[in-house]
Amino acid sequence: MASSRRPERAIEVTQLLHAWRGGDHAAFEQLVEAVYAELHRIARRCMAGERAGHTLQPTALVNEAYMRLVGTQDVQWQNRQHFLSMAARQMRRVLVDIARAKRFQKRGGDAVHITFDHDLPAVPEPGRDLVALDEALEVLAKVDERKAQVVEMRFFGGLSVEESAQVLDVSVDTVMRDWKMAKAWLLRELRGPAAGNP
Amino acid sequence: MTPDQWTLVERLYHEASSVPPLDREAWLARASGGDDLVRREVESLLAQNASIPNALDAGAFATTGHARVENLTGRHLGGYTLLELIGEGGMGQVYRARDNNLKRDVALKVLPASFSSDPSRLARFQREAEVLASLNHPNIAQIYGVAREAGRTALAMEFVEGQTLADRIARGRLPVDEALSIAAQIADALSAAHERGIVHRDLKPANIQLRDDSVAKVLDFGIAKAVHPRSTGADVDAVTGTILTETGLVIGTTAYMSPEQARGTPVDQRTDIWAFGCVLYEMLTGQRAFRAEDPAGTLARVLEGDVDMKALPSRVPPPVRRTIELCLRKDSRRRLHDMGDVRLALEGELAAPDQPRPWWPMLSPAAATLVLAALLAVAYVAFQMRPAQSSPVAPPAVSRLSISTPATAPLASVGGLDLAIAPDGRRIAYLAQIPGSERVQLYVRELDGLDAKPLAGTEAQGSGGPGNMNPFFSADGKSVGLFVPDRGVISVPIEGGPPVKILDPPVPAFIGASWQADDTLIYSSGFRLERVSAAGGGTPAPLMPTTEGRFVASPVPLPGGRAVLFHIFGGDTNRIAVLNLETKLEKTLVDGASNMFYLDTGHLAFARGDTLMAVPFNLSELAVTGDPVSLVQGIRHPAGGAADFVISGNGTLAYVPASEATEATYAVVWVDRRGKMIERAVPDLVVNGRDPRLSPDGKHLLLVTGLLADGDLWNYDLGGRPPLPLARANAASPVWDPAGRDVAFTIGTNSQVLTRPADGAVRAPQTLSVSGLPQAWSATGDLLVQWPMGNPDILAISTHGPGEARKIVASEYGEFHAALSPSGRWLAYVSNRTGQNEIWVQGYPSGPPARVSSDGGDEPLWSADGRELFYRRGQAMMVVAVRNSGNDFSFTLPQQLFSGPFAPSTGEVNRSYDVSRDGRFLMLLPADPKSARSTASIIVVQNFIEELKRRVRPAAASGPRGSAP
Repeated sequence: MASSRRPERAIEVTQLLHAWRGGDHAAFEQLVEAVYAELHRIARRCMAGERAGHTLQPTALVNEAYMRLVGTQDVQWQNRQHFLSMAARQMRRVLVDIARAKRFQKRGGDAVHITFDHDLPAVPEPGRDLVALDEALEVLAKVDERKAQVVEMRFFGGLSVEESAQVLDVSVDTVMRDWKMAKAWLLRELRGPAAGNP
Repeated sequence: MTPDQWTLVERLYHEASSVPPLDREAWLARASGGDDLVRREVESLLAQNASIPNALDAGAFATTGHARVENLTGRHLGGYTLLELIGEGGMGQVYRARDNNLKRDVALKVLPASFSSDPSRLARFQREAEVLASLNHPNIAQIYGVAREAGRTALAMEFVEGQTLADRIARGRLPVDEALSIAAQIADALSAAHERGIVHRDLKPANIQLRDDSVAKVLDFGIAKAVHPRSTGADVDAVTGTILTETGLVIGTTAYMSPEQARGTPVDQRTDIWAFGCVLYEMLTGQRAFRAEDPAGTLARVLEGDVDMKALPSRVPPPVRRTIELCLRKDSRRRLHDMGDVRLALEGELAAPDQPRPWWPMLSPAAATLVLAALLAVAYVAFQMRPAQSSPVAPPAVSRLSISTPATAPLASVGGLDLAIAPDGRRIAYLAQIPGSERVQLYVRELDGLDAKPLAGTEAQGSGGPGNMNPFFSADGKSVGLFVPDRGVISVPIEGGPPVKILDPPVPAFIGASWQADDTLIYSSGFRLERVSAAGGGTPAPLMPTTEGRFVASPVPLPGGRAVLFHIFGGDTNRIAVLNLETKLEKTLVDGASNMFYLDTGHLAFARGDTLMAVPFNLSELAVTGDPVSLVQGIRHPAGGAADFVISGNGTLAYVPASEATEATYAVVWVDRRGKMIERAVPDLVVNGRDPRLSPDGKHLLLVTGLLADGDLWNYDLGGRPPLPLARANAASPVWDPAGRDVAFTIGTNSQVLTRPADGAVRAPQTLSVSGLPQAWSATGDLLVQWPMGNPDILAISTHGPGEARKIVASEYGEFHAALSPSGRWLAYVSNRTGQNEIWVQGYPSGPPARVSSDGGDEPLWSADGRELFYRRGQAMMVVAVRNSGNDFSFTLPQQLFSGPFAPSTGEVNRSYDVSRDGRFLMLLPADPKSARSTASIIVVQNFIEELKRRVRPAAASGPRGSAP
């Protein structure tokens, strides 16, 4: 049964997390690989066979990856936080890779739309895909790396403001300010400067 | 934009929020100091109105929005992780949950919240649960104990896979044989419980679980009473027919209620006998013994109506009919009184199915018992000797042999299938390490030969590449094929000759192959099955379209060439399917299964986890025709890999048993102060033994064994009784409480600290609010713990109640191996603050530290009188004499007591010795390496097919489906 595999894997991942927190870079690389693979699997599975235009919720996927790799929601909070901060980057890679692949796919019919969310005010059409967000984030990182990291953690990793603050070792206030400004910056980039609200 | 400009943009953007919107433009023009770039940047950002939640916030919101309030899946409750909601009823929710301590799945019945708020009810429930937990019988789902956390109370009990009898009956009435086999097991269960004075009170098909291997288990024994002690169950819900208590909870079902229960009068074991009669009747007829349009009508039938005996199929033997009648007598005084009588009545059927009817109930009960006991003995023998199939020839004997691989060339585990068997079952091939290298190679072993021979040309790096090596035999058994990274898929003649290249590299994935009699190979290239000539040089022909998002593996062509079995996995998928080569349609055969083989007897063998199972299979219908039965457990099945077993066409099984790699084996010995061995402390040799901890009274020894990442905790009785397992898997660092009753230890990947009774008593372990490795437990109730990993500190927590962990010794360096002096006033520990591990002592809970060792030291430990402090330095045992009065602590220079070939100090995590009250040292002595058992072997079961035929019956042969006139 699939579930019989999890304990060993959970031990391994937890050990890697420990080692990484202890400064082991090789462990980090291994972890990145495992997390990317797992996220990719989950994302593909979510997309395969389900209704067209299925909405992927990145944070839900990261949490599922965490559950699958670590197996419980209750390990040391430091582990979870480190995991999420690292998984955020991998989630970004996965989603952007998939979006990019879809973009180049000739058959438009089965393209999967990855939207940011359903109920909330949507980003206008031109900036609607993740590839554009990814590219905008790249630019933001050059201007202000920490703000780009905040976006990565909050949007792709589902970290709370508090968790992000702990990972980045800055105050909660700083994260809130970064988040607010980064959103404004990204929205402007994605909408184009002319599309701002009056 | 320069960094300075950006900094200004950021400041102005945030400051702008305190400026009234109408004033902003003027303010910004001023504040930007004439820098147009900055002004425009701030303006365009402010225009975005980022305070309103937008799409970017969705990521952060998504995880919190959808949680269902009531489902506790993923949460923890007293040492259990709730995995899946498997049932909901009046007595709460039932989850499949993981026992984090013992690493097993349990069924966890979480009681309603209202329940937990009533202390007297809780106390009663606890008492009842303890009684129920003492009930231990193979046909009763074991109660493990009560778990409580954060205002929730739950009952942990054995998790039984399979279906309920109610589900089974829903598909139609049971064949008589099957019904009687289940009835006998229920009778055994009730009998065992009644002997202990426990009445079930709510026996019904939904409370009987049937496992795949035909074992029946009765669930929820006595739980109705444990939850609702005073209830007699008179209040009936008119809609559902369930019995309600004052709080509206279900405790029984009218259809199975005895008349005395229905009247609300006190009940005893005869109530269960009534329900047993109802269940037996229902199994045989497919309908309830008492039923009506509504619950009130059902109750009326229970109280007044007669059961319709004519509904019983005519094939039901007379004694069984009689048993039902005697169980269902309205007047409990005239009902069978005792499950023993019921059981005998039923078993009598086995002896003499054609017995004329009313002879035995006329005997006195005692005489009947004697007669039936004698009949039973005969029946039992007759039953056991019943041939499996009506074959006049004795079946070939099943024989087992084990093949040991030399320690220098251990069996490899490259991920895919690591062994293959020739179609005639006479040869096996397996992957093993090439001595002295990291590489692996195929070895071929004739089962009638003595040695395995390496097969030249099959060498490969151990990792095996993306598709693993997956060896397979040719149809004639003379060659073995496999995937070798860089060389593609090749076949190599066993008797010598050039290898044949079947598929050129690069081969993106190769997940199993079958070599057919027409010398074609059907194999998986990862996403689809393909066929290619085994002679090489051919072009692969796909047998199915590529389906992304899943992998296919291990194709097995079925006789006739019409269809192929294959395994589908990926994501949460793990199932066996069959592909019809004519229609190109595929269909699932068994879910949650892999590694299948078809056997000519009409069976499918497959792996479910580490268990080999088989199920009857109809080749012409391409359909499974019965229920799977487990045959062999404990087969190696690495995570993400294949289960390592193969079955030849003629039914010989070869498999690799799951075994933990042995790393070091120790004897546990007593030595004196000069290191001279006195005697063995326990008779067993222990694998990777560590953390020996003598109990305060010196009669018991805690010991952790097993792989370092996966320790088991044992309580050894030094008087020679077998050791008691206290925790399985991932346990470490046990310490005794000063009274010698409880043990604290760490468990699990998150290093949770638990306590539980050292005698293994059934009681939910208590989780303490700290992570780490327990080091010492003071007489005042402090538990010292080392945490985190890496650069540990020493923390203390009170075991008397909740509270924060206090830092006792914490620095940027590592502090570990804490030992409290017997007086509790002095703390010895190891610190690496000087650049190497040294022993330090300071007052407890605080005081200035003093260094005791001079040239390195680990694992400090006080003598029982507190006058000596021992520690390890490499292989040596060191001692310093200490004197302390009041707040003074003085000590001598260290001296070596002895040095010997004992298990060395294992760094900062484990302790390698202990000292008894009378000053003897308990040491771990590596066992003679020559006596160490050789590494994992292969087990071959010849004529395994006979065993399989005996145990797995096609459904068609298990009894007629209808009743004969």
